[in-house]
Amino acid sequence: MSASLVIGAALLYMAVLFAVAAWGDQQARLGKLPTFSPWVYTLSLAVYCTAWTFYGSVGLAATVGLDFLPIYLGPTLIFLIAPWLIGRMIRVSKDYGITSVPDLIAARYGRSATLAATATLVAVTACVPYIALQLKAVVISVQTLLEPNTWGVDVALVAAIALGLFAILFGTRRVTVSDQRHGIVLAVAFESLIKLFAFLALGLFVTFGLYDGPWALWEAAKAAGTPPLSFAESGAGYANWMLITLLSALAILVLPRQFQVAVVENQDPSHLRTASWLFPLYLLAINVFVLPVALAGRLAGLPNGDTYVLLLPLNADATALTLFVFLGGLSAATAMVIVSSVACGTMIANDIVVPLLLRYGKEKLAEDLSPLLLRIRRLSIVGLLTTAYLFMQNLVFDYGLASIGLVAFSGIVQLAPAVLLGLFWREAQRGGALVGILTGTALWAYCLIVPMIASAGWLDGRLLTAGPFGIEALRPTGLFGLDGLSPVAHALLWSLGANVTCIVLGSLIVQPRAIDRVQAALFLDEDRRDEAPSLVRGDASMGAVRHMLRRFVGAEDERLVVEAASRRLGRPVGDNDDADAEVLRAAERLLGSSIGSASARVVMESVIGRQTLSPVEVMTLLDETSKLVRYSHRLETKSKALEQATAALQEANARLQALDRLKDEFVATVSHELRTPLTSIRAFTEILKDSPDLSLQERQEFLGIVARETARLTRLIDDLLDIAKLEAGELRLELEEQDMRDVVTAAVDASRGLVDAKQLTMNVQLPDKPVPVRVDPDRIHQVILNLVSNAVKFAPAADGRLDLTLAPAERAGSPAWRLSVDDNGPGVPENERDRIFGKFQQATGGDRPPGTGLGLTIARQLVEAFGGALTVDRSPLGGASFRLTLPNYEAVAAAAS
Amino acid sequence: MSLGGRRRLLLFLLGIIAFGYPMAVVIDDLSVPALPLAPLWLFGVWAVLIVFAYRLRKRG
Repeated sequence: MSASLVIGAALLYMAVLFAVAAWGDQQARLGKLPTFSPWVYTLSLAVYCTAWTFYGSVGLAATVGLDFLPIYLGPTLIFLIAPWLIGRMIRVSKDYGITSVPDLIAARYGRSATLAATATLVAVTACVPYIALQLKAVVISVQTLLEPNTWGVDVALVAAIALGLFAILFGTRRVTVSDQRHGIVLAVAFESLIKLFAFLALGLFVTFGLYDGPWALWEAAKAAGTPPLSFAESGAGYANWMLITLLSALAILVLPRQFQVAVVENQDPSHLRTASWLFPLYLLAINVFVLPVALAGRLAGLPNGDTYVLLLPLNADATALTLFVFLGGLSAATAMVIVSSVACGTMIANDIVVPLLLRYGKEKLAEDLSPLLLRIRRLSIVGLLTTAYLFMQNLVFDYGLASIGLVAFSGIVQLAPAVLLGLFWREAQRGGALVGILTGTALWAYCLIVPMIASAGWLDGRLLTAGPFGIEALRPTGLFGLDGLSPVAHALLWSLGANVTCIVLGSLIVQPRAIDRVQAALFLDEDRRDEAPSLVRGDASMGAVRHMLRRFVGAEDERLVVEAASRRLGRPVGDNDDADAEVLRAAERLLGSSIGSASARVVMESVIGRQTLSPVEVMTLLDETSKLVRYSHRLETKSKALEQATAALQEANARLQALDRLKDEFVATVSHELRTPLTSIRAFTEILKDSPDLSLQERQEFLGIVARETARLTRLIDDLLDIAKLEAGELRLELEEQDMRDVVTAAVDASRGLVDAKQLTMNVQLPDKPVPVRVDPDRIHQVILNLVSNAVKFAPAADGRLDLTLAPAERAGSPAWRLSVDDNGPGVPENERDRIFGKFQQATGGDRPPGTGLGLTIARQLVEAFGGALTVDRSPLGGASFRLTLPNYEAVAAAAS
Repeated sequence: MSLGGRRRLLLFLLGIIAFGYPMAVVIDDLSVPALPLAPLWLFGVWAVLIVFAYRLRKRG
């Protein structure tokens, strides 16, 4: 392919990329936020798919079959729970102004500068070969297309310079890192689309252009005797499969470029919900044609698996497609280098250079430090890319793309245990994290980097076969006799295992400082983070804080802090005012996003007079926090209990008022009922006393009235006593088994006189067999007598009729007996059928009948005490039908036994 | 953890099993050719997980 075409296309592509980034930044300045979209966010996450994916996956599949896939299965699994897991990382990072994984670790573990520097060194050490890998991929792709290299220029150097320029231009414009870089995010999303479409176009061309579909390709491979792409060829087995899945799952959380796009550049945590399905879909789409392309490459007898993606369309003379695929590979490499450079450059500047500067060169620092901070960040990017370029030139060419990528992955995941345990385990402590990271990294270097160096001939090769000092158990590729795993899986098992063990043991053994405990508590309890007292304490004037902010973050951000304070206090804030805890917290957060959380703490301490919190103060603070939490919980509980008690009291009060009303009505009614017979008795007794000339007949008539009224009075008082006892539950009932037929017959006999006196017709129907019920004989007699006397009372004098029927019935699903007392009187209107069972209630309409008005009340309560019911309905005779239902004692006794 | 979070966690665990266990069978029994059975299974599981994740997109 012609050099001018390839180089021209590459330059044009880079120009488009610059234009996209510049447009993104310009739109953001106009306030349009072109990157505020879950789709752009998800596409930017696809920076995960680098040249390793684009070229290396096919290379790996061509040699070890499906072993390329776990690299994408791990992230797929992690993104299923991303809204919860990465969402938590985002919330913590936004709250603390965290800008990188080392910064997150430092912020969690007492803002330790040592820990931040260590984590940065690990991240950068692992990142350098990864960036070198991308440069190598660019070189390989150009060399593949221009064989021999007719351009005569160092492609890797040109690529490194162009990408460094891009990263500096769009990644280091502002000193506050937590501000989003819309240009870069948009460019990365654009590149993700290009590499996806390029690979899909290639896959479709190979599968359906060169062959007649995947099955035809598979049949052709079988016919040609091409060995199937199976695990058997890798020889690593199932453990390797699972370990690489774990490796990639952890890597997607802590890779600098992934943290940059997923956490720092995130504009809304809800975008993760889209990413949780769209990102796995992207990974699936970019991998779906890897196996067909690898098979086709092997069938074509091409030499290097990493170059299949370019050589297949090139050999088929598909020039346009070849160029598109080349640009796809270029986009995969450039996106990674750009984002990684920005992320690592920030880390180096914030966690290594700035702390050194603050410690040793503070006196020489200029008034406005933001230009210096930006310069340091830019120089860090240049230094990083230079190191990667030198690494590639000297070491990397002996290894495949995928193997370098895996080595870098297993290095970077040494930060994962400290991050994950720090986010979810309150006891995780600084000492444990530091020892864990150092031990894990040392084992990673020993098991993976040392063999690389030995293979390059820089170390004695016998180290790999016989072990150091001839101790075979210490062989870097078979530590303590663990053989049979791939080198990466072997190194991962030892390094990660040791790392986690050290963090856990170190955290449990070492007594934490009080400040660390407070920090951990606030870090994990996100609901309380805003209400917690500030960890920054000390006396500082607003003037001093403003001066500090102007120096480190620039005048614009300083103005925002002051405006926020003025708004909160409701008055302009002067330089002589004291900076309150809110201002100090905002300042520390802003500083953290500019120079890292560890350095921010140092600067804050210098401004507020180096007032670090004493153990006593920290314990007080801890107390305040826990007291606040406890008090709040107690208050909530008490408030709920109070609400419940108030509701119960209101209900009880309403009941009492109703009862009071009833009592008043009852007393009034009883007084009235007592007064009527008493008035009669008094009147006739006075007549008898004052009228000695009354005839004997008159005297007897009056005395008869007095006797009747006295009897009525007695009945009323007896009934009242019964009611009182029934309601107080003090009426003693002598329950015993009775034949209801006998009870009814006795009551009928007792009332025969009344019936005859009114010349009524009475029919009694009783069953032939015994009717067992359990009742108090005297009381049930009283009830039936009451019902019969009521019927007699209301039945008309002429043609009056009274029916008593005892028949089987059912009550609440159980067998029962029912006695119906029917008459042909006026009946009880439907709306009064409940009311007549109340005290002193009698049916309305017509004259008030004689009686106390308590009989039915007592009857119903007695029947209920027997477990039965007393109701009233319309009788077939036209009058009232009182129905007394009692449980069938035979059935009750049978059920009980 | 919310209901959506618990469902996601369940999906995550099912994904680990579905991606891992059948591979153990394929890898341990070398007489079974990894192609085309294994990729079909893996990409199938992958697609199913994506569908379920899509259905959970409205939940946290």
